[in-house]
Amino acid sequence: MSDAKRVLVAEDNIVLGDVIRFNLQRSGYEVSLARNGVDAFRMLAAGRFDILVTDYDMPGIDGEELCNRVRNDLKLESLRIVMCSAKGLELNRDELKARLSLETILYKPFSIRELTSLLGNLDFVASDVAGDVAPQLLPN
Amino acid sequence: MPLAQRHRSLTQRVSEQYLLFGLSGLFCFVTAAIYLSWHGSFLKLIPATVGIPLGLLLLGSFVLRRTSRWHENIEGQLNRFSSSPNHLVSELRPLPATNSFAAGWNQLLARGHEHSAWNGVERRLADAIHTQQAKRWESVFQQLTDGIAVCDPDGRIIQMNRSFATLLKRADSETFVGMDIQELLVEQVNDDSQQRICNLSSSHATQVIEIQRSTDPSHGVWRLSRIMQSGDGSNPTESIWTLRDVTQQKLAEKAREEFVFTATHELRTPLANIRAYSETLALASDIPFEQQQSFYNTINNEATRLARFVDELLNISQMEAGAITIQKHEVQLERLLSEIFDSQRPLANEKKQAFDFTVAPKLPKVMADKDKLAAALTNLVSNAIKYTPEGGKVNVCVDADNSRVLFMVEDSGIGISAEDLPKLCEKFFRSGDERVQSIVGTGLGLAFAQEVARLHGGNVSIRSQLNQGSCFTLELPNR
Repeated sequence: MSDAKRVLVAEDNIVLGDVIRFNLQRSGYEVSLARNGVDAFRMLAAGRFDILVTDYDMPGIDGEELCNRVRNDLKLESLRIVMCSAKGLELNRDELKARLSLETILYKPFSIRELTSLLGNLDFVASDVAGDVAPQLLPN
Repeated sequence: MPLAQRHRSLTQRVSEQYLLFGLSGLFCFVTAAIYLSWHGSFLKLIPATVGIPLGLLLLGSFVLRRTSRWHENIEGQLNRFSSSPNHLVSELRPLPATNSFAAGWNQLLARGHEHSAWNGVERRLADAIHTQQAKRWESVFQQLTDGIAVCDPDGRIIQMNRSFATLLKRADSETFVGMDIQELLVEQVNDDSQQRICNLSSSHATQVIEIQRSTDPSHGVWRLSRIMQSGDGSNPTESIWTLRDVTQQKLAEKAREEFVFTATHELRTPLANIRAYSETLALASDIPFEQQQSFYNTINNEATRLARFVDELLNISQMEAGAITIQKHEVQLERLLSEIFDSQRPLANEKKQAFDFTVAPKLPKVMADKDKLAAALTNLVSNAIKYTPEGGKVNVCVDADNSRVLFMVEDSGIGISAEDLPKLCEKFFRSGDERVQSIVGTGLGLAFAQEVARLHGGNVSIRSQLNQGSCFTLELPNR
């Protein structure tokens, strides 16, 4: 098993998802891409990820709902989550960050460099490493 | 003063006449008494001795009464006048005499009557004016579009105008008189607003709050204000409550807010892509050439999308101001259509849609505003691509006869429900359908297309079946 951190990018904007994956892969992450919230949830339930980079506005399940389910249904407490949003003042940033234990919320247009350095600076204690996480509850 | 000299005073006349008769009576008595005593017949003729002076005195008092008759009359009248409650000049009577004294009194009375008559007229006029003013104020009060209620210090309604009653959905404002205004308002609004009404402090300052009938603002939003009226400058006596319906204003504000949110979202999305791709290209120098090319293309596409959105925003602002004008020139339809076709094909290809363009072999030349028409048609085509799932079909067909040119955009998309169909061309309208909500849009493209068609003397008609597809037809008159 490689040491590369596994990142799931949930982004319905195809071109943006692609460029995020491109950059994260170059930074040494193992990246999976989900085009909507439903797929992202399914992938999170099935695989083990260290980091979730999710858009706020997505068809089906939006970013907020996805994080909610991740924290409450899947009980993935150690998953680091970065949210991106094209919304501005409509979001209650601090409340959202605290409630869903988000690393941060990036407003579009955000800098790719900012995203990669943010992910690079995340501290992972030994038990946080994806491979060591105990099997999680899978949805039916 | 010749008059004063000619007419001696009452005292003078009375004393002169009384003295004259009295002295002559006394003289007669003394003379008769001496004469009769001389002849020794005083006792015999005593009745005559007494009778003559007595007669003289009686005559004197008669003359005296005549002299003071009118004065007594006036004195009596003045006594009655001063003791009567109203002091009415009309109660005084003129003297039926012709002497200058009576004439003076009568003239005085006439002047007094005249004066009181004018006073009466003045009073009646003032009353009439006052009543009219009160009526005018009452009518103003009733016809104001804002609801107004006046309450006593306990908050009970003294008076309420029709608008207030109408806002409370009652026809008659009289039925509310005596009711507690706060209780009345609390019955009409949602929990949150009830709290706000109850929290109105007892401070004398004017307070303004916004209250809502239900959680949905479209059911009614009111602006309520309470103004305390200071009676004599010390304690507040009455309060004036005004109620204004601000529902439309609220809804417009909400629509504008939503539009700004949508617009910023629409601007941020292509900007995010442009920034991410350009940053990637700037940071990494070892990207293969083909990939670099595809990144540049993406940036270009996103910039185009952004430019289109900015155009749309400009069109909207013009449309909002009612300031869209068109400048008709002869337009080569084939060229215009192929430009639209070329710009939209990549979007259809991205979604793996069958994108077909059928143009009648010989199209007439039309007089139209090329840019506006292109924007309107682009809206129709890009909508069809947007709202048709991957692998669907979008078919654009342009046909003409002698009188008109038809641009038909047909798709196998998600379709429009019969309920949404009539509202589709309204500005900012977006269907509540989840599939529509998941696609970004302003709800203005169709409104713009409709407006452009209308300015050209044509129109946009829509046929659609939910989950089957839609057909939008833009019809332009030929010339």
